Amino acid sequence: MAAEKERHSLLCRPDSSKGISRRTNECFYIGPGRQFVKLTVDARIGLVLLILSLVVIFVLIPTIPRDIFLSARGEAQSRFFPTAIAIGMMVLSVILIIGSYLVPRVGDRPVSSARKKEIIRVGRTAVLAFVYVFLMYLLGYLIPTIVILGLLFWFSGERRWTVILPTTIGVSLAFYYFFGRILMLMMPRGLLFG
Amino acid sequence: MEQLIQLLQAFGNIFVHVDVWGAVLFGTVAGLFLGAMPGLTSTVGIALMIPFTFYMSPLAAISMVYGVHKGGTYGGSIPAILLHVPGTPAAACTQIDGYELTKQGKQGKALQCAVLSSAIGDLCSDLVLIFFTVYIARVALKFGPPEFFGIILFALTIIGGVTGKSITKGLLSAMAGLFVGTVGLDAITGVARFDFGIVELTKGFGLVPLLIGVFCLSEVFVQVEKRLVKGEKVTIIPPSSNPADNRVSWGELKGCLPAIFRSYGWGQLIGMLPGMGAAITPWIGYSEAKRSSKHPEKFGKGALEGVAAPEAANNAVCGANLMPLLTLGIPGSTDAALIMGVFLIHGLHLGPRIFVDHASLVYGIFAAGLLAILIYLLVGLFAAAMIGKLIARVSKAIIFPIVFISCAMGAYAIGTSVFDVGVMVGFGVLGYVMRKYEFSLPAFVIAFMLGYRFELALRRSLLMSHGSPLIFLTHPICLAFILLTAGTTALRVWTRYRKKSAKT
Repeated sequence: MAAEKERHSLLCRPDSSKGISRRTNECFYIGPGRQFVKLTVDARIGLVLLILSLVVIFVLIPTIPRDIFLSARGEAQSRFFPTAIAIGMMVLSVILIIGSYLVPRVGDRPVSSARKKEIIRVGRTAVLAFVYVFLMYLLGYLIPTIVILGLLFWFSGERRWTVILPTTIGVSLAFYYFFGRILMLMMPRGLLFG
Repeated sequence: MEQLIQLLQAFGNIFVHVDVWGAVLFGTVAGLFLGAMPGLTSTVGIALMIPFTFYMSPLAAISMVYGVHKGGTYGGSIPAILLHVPGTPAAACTQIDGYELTKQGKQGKALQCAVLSSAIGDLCSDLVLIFFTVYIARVALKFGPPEFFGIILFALTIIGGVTGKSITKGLLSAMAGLFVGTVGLDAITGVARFDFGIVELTKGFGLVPLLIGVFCLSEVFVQVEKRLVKGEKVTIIPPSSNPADNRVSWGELKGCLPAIFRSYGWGQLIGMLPGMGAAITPWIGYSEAKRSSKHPEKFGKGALEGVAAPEAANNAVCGANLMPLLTLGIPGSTDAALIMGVFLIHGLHLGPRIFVDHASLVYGIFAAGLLAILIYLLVGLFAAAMIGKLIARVSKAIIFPIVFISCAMGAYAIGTSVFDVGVMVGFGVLGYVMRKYEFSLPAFVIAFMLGYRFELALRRSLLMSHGSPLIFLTHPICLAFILLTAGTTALRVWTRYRKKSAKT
């Protein structure tokens, strides 16, 4: 018991000597006093997947109409396979949660300031991607592509306008020519210009 | 003999059609460049090219992506040797001895050794593919729904259990792929599932937007994580002035042949198994070559066998991956799954019947594969160093935004629908999150692609047996695969448990 407590204590202690906190893999020890349970990363993922599986089983699957021309045997119905998968995911999620505590991961990635910058960079690009889709729907292909490509170059670290401007316009027009003229594809015109 | 005649006819067919041999040439060279560019693998290359194949004949389309696959697998060795940066995960082993040779000024020797070994390993696996696959297909023709259920179950479990660091996460990825595949109309009853009234979802998620999002866009996000500094200068070590250091002599190549053929064997065996891609076979080939070498102490210090072995192994996987794909319709790797996508786009269903219904197409693909080997061999022998210098100059800050737009246009081109671009972005974000939390992308995608057939096999089997699950136990082949599934999963869990217990 004491050894177990010590092991968990070591895993939970922030490593301030290296200036980083080991918050990514917080494990816990439910000792005699009151302690809050902190979830490991895998346990959090498992919990999310477990909740999603339950949502699928109790909310989404009932939206599938029951078949009326086939027998009432479950195996012939459209709900059978998605239900089986959702149950399988539920079981695996529970295994993931339990497994994350049986074999704790020591030395996981710490949440450092560098990591936060990485997350911001990726998040920014993902948001730009969704904005691009929305703008393409509204305005068509050319203008959103030029704008978004320019922003992507900028966020990637390219700062020379002598490179950004011609590359942005050139690449956008090249894609337009290749898809629209050579492959004869109908390019998006956008809701506002359609 | 019959296969040889078909193959010769296929060669004739290829050379008569400019679009086909042009597609192979373009695909192989493009794949070589993409594989040589760190961050852009043959997987990304194939995914980006899939939309263009829509406008090509089936043979040209499949030949092109097959060329990308082969060229890309070899191309990863060029920056691994010259710059100590593998272009593909499969080339990570090559850099150990390859870069040591570069530091000695012998990069020409290393590059030649790499391309010759790749070509020999690739050629041997293609010959096995050409002459023996048809016999597997003849056996597979006798399989019914229970047998296919058992095989796909085994394949999905292997893929989920082998790819990635965690068996549970791998299986969860496979389950997620199966679930995403249920969106749309039910194959048997025609009932709409999970479409939420969105017309575009009636057909389910598009295969091409999903593939591009999961593999290409997620890679863009991974690259964007790091600050893509413009104009990175990479030091290129100048070659030795001694001509003997810039080429492989016949004696040196002969000395590497045992390692090459041994590694080819591993690549052939492992490549045939679903889920076993080219990433692990080079390491097996390398360790076996070191173990059986007369001078194991030279490994890690510039041994030619240390370059030859991994390259032969990883290219041997190219042909081997196609065996389960063509005979059973089960992709052996991510690239094979993407090639399967091209088949599906052209309305061709993979499985044993393809040897009956489209034999000329199949042998055309085999001939294209052999042509692709010749192309990358010639390019590698004469232009590999130049390609390396070119790659060193290209800025990632320019490349990856362009790749992003290519992804968007590729996703749009299939259905001329902005909705597909949105699907692509959504799956790109999902793919990135899965990578960060160590879920398996290959398991997800392969399960998505096999989900339709898996469900069909399961429900048809149960319909045949009037609902009795005993049908899976009374068919011997199905039972054998179910037992294999259970056995390999248990073995894998036990091995993992033992490793983790030994560490703690």
